[in-house]
Amino acid sequence: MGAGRKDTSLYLFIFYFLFSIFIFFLDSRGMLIGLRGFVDRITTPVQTSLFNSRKVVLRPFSVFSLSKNKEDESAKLREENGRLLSKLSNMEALEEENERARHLLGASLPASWRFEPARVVSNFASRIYLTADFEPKQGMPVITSQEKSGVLVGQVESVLGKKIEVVLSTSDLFKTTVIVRDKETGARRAAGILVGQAGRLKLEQVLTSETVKEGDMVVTSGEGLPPELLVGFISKVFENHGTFQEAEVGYPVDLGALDFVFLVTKY
Amino acid sequence: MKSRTFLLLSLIFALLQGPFLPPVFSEGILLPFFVPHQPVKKLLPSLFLSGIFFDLFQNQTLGVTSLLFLAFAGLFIFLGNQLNFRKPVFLLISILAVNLLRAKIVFGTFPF
Repeated sequence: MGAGRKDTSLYLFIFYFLFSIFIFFLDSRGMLIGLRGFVDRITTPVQTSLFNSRKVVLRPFSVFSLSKNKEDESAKLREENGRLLSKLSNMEALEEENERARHLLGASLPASWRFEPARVVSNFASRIYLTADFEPKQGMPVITSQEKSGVLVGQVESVLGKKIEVVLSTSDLFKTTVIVRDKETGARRAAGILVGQAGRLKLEQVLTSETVKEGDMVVTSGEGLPPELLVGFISKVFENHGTFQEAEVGYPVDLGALDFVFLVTKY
Repeated sequence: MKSRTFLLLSLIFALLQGPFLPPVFSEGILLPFFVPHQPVKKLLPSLFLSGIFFDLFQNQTLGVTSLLFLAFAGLFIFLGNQLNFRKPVFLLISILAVNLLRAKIVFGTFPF
């Protein structure tokens, strides 16, 4: 009898075991989708409402709940993400500034000069506005680098809070003595006065005995500004009538593409 | 524990475990208490059905949990003569084993 019961138990056990394997086989072949669909129609709304009520019900027990830890962790990660994005943005700006500085280092400027970078924030009516980490003095020259040469942008007019107002060399307020040099040889050709005129540059008071040609470089003479800074190129020589001759000077700086400039703090 | 109670608890835990309860396989804890005290004729169908409930409500392939339950039942019955599952240490080991094995086989990961 005992052995009989044992046999029955064993057969039952084997039966249910094989039946489970059979059910597993059917479901893995997708043959029980109908049954699943029927059960899902009943259980899904129940589980959805349970899930929605979970936060309300479990809030008093959130001290013990693992989900609270996950929420805290999620908040911390969001905060860190924000902080990292801000750092990334600063790094991108520094990278750009660094690139400009490298460009400037490649320009043929004396090693004894000292520069401070500044970021252009706006430009309007022959003026540009900058921000920098230091406070410049009025009249400080502002340059940029172009074609491996330092190019004069303008001079500091005033400091308004954190903004630095720079008068461009094309402004009516700008006037300086310059030298005209041959573009190929660098030989001095003439001297004159460069004035700004409503967004343009004009070379005046050049002796007619001196020859200026289109394409010649116009550089600062060193009076009131660092010497040998490129101001522009002769774009047109006017017909001369008298002692002096005049020429139009092309402004080489693309103001639209200007992001960073450098203030010459020592020269 | 009666078979009906075990089946009812299977149904409730299977429904609640996903949306509500933490990821602890509650039925695995009850298994060592249920199996040693039931006649085989009532035990085996209950285990089979309980496994089906879990797989159905937790979107797993039907039959996997039933196979696991039946395998554990076989082990408990086989070792029941040598080991006393009322002792806490054997109870703890069997609960852990059921939980870890089911989590690994069914969900592919341990519950921690």
